[in-house]
Amino acid sequence: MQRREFLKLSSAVASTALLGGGLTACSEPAEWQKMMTEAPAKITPTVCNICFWSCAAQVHTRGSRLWKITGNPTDSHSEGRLCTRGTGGVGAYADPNRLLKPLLRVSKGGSQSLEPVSWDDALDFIGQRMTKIATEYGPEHFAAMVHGAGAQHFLHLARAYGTDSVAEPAFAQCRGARDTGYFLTFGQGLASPEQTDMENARCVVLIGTHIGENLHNSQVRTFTDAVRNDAHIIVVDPRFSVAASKAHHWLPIRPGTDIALMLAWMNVILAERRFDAAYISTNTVGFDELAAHVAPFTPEWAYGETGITPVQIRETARLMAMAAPACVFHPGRHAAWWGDDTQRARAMAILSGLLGIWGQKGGYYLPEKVDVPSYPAPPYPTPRTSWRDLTLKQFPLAGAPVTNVVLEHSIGKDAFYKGLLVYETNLPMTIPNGAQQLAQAAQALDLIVAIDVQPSEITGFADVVLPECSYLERYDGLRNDAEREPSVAVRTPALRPLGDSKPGWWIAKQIGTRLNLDAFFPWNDYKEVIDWQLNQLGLSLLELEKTGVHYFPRKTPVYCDPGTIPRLATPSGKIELFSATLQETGFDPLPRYTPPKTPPSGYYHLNYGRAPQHSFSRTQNNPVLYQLMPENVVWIHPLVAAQFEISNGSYVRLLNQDGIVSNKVRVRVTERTRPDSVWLAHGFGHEARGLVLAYGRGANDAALMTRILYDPIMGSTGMRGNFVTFRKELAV
Amino acid sequence: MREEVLASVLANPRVEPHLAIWGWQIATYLFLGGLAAGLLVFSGWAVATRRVGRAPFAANRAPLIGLVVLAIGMGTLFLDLERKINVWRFYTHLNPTSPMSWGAWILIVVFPVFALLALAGLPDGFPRLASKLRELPVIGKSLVAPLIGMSGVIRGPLAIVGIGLGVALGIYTGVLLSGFNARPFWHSALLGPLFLVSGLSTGAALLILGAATAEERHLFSRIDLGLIIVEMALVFLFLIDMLNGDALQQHSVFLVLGGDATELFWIGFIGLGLAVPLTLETAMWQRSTALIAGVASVLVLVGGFLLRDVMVTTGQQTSWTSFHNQFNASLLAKLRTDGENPNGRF
Amino acid sequence: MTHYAMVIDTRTCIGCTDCVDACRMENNVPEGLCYDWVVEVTTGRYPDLKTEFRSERCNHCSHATCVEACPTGASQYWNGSNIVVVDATKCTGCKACIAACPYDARLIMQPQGYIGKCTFCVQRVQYGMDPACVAVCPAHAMHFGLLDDPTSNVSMLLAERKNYTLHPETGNQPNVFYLR
Repeated sequence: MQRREFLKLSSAVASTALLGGGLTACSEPAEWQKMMTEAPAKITPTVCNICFWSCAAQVHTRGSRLWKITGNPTDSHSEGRLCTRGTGGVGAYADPNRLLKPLLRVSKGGSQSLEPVSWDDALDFIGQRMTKIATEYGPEHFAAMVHGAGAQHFLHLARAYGTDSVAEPAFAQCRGARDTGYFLTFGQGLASPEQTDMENARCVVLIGTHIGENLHNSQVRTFTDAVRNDAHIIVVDPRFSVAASKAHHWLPIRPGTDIALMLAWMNVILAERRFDAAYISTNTVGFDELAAHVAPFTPEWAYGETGITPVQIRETARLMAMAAPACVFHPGRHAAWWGDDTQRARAMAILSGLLGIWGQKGGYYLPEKVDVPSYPAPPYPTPRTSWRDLTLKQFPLAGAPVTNVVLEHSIGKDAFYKGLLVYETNLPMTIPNGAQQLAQAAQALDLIVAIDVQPSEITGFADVVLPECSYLERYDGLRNDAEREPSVAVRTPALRPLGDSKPGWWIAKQIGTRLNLDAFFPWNDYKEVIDWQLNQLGLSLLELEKTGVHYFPRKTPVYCDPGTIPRLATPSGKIELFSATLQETGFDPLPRYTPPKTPPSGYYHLNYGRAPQHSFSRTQNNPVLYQLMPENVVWIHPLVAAQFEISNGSYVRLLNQDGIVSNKVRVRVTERTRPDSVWLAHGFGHEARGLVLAYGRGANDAALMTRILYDPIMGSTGMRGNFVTFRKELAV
Repeated sequence: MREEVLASVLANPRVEPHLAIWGWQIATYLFLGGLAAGLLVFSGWAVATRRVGRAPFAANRAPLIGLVVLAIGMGTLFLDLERKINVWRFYTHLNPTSPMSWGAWILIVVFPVFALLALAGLPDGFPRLASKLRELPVIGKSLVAPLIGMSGVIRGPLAIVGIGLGVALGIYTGVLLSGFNARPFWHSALLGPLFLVSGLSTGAALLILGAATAEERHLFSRIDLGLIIVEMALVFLFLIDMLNGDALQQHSVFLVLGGDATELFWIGFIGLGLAVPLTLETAMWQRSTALIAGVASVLVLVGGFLLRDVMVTTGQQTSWTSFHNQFNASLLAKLRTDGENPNGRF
Repeated sequence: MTHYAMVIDTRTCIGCTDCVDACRMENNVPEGLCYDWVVEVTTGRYPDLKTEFRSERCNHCSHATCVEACPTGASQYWNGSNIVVVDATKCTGCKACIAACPYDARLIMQPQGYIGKCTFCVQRVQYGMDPACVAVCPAHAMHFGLLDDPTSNVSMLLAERKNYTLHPETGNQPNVFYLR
């Protein structure tokens, strides 16, 4: 018998219906008639948590009834307009399957189940196990995987406990490679929100990123500003994405050949001398090496790799150069693709450097954040073994813990990690092939804690499941992002926590108490922390509970003077077109193109991406968002559909190169994809039975990613190297 | 290539994917309304043209039967209402552009005329009922008896009014549908005459079934034969009209020319409901037999219902819009607890 | 007559369906039902393609066949404008208006049984606010205002840009305009 069975929480364990609409008498007026005379609703400020864009928002309640959530009009992220998912945040509160009680894994007569227990029982259990790990092995043998606004509470807990192994999928599964590439070139990664000055750009280049389906609020707004301004939009995507439909130039590239295209762009810009020579000589290093490197990569050469005609490559390169410096390359967010992702980001950064757009209007503006002091607490103990000791041997330039490295070191009796805490990230569907690794790790780990709002897949692996309340029912740390206008925004509870669910800060503090870490939590309510921090800034929580957001004047300019660049944090202090750091660590100092694997006959590239209605795998059970998109569909080109005799609207299963078969998924036959690729929205195909709406809907792309292409530089888990074919589903 | 899909899911029950807002209730109502109209016209005609002796059933008994038929029809109309408590609202408003409104008011006028004609026919048609009514306590002597007497006096003018109202009622059942520009298959002025003639034909068929004498049966057999021929012509013209209509109409008519409703329309309505009775009644031109005339009449009645049913059902499936959900719209039934009670908010 | 119009820019609409979402929340639309929807139209052949998104709803027609078809006066123009609303206290649920709507924009509210539809968020419009769908659009692709006023943003947009309405040949004179 397995040490831990993957438990599929039934809805009986999770909560049942929350709000019931009563029958109304038939002579009642219509809803709109009632609303004509209704008194204004109560408004509570919050920060949206459906994605990490963290738009400041306002929660409208009438008594204990949640009516709607709208954007905070003074907020620069939302400008009073939440996206589809943020508007659907109502469903995050009203999800009928929310976790409302702590659960503890118990074995009864040979079978395991998660049974409701009291908070004390659950927390004491965690306290005992964590104390045992700390005394037997040392606290650094405990790891945490976190995501989202509440992550800081558990990062704090972990550091206070004595471990720095706190990994976020946001690094190795998402932005890590991109930020490493930009860091190596400009001495810093790109911010989130990205500092793309699209509203002032004359040319916007999107390489694989699909703004539109990708509904990050202010980014959509500034992208459509660029469309309104008649800026040249260049979209490189194997799929005719929404952005591509707005573009003047859609380059339907062969998957995996982005670097070839970018090398050819550099080739054109250098060959035609379409750059500012003075700027290059003052502000960059390694130009000559770059020129020599890209000389052979002509558009004619790239045509053979990318399928983009030399005419298109030249035309688009010239457009960029003519628009420069008001030309912005959106770096994308999810950048874990082909295993050469840092180099891919480097190519984008080098193009940005060549065109001199850093710190320029219409390029990358210079973001600034508010200096919010930390609440006084003792210094963290230094762990005897850091995550770096485990990671850098494998991935020398990893700037943050790599989730997969943590997981690999959790597998087996002799594994380094003995315990794992997972906060608000659904690892089985987030990490490619993550479910299998977790199942292996679960056999040996002494403790797995999952903290979540809903009974997602990760809870099935846990010993203890702690129910967090939704973001609408809690305080969290101040939003303080580096951006155009520095601001802080506050999340305050608009509703009482449902059932026994509790805020993340409370959970962290309670675990801390059981580990004798009270000194690190010298407050009773997290409100005190927020209020103290705001006081240091000359504000108060009372004030922010009215306004929600506060802006501060900039201390530094948002752009630098034309033709200049601020001092960069690279070793040379300049833009490193040629990276000595990469050379010293044994990697290519200039981006090298490696031809991608081509799919076997009858197989197709598995491309995946976002849908505007959903965030990751976290919102499929949200009844409001389910209504808009209840399942994902697989996009298949008509020629392929005809070849396999698959009809539009029918259901198929996807079969990958290693024989993994997906759940059934509906087919959309469309011209909007390359014939050699299929496309799938990520986050569907849930296997957790507790998610009653989402269970069994659509196909899970993460499960089909059995071939992971690690980036040797920083450990990013490339997910694009998988191929699928079709199995017809007869019974629908 | 043109691909048109919905980016959101449209799954409003009975609106999408195919309108099925009106079911058997409305088809039955239109059928019974037409039948009642036919009975009213023929009974009025029998009285007005002094054929009470030659067509006693039509003159004396048909009005009461028609009254019951119409009441049942209005009952099915009521069954179709989604908000029955507001039914009285039909009579606090007259919307001159709404056939439905006109129909409601026509019914209000038809009822008393029908009732008075029925009372006038009562002493001869249903003598036992008449005497029972006269002997009712309190109202028997004071109200019913004088009413029967009065209705007998004004029977002639009442019959002429009845013919007019019957024609209006019959046409209205068609205009109710043809007034909808939004449904291409209904949008033909021929629907009014077609439904009127069909109503008259079904009325005649019921009179054949109830005929008091062989002479009366033969009279209405011959009348019905003529009506069937006219109805066939009108159906033919309707199809021509659709085939030569706009693109939406051309497309919609294929629902009965190869589409879902083809069998019901051609075999059911045209074949059994028109062609077979036509043949039978032609054969009986010289001399009718009760059995064969009865069979023909039942078929005419069945055909009359099928005409309404096919028109109501098929017409709704034709629309200016064509929405295609890319996601499986039936998945939303989970939210609505299978479409029965979509009111609960979460 | 106060003549309201909605103008939707298909050039910037990204088809995110936020309008549908905001409408459902604002108007407490029951689960599984909606007053508006988003159509995606793709023409051409790979790689020469064009995709257009259209947020669709009741067109609040100046010549509304649904109002004409209503036997009880429940379907009516609001306050002398072209905003078509249904007074549920008068509605019998006869569904004549559903049959009469060429845009299939109406639906039966169950179990109350009255006919539901987009109201242009008249509860907001009465205070001079935009409908919820317009107010939420993250792409700023939707506009709302008075056609009577030549200086309103909708009038100016319609004067400047090529535009179309859906099925004008119905004669219904729809008032939701799409900019090309």
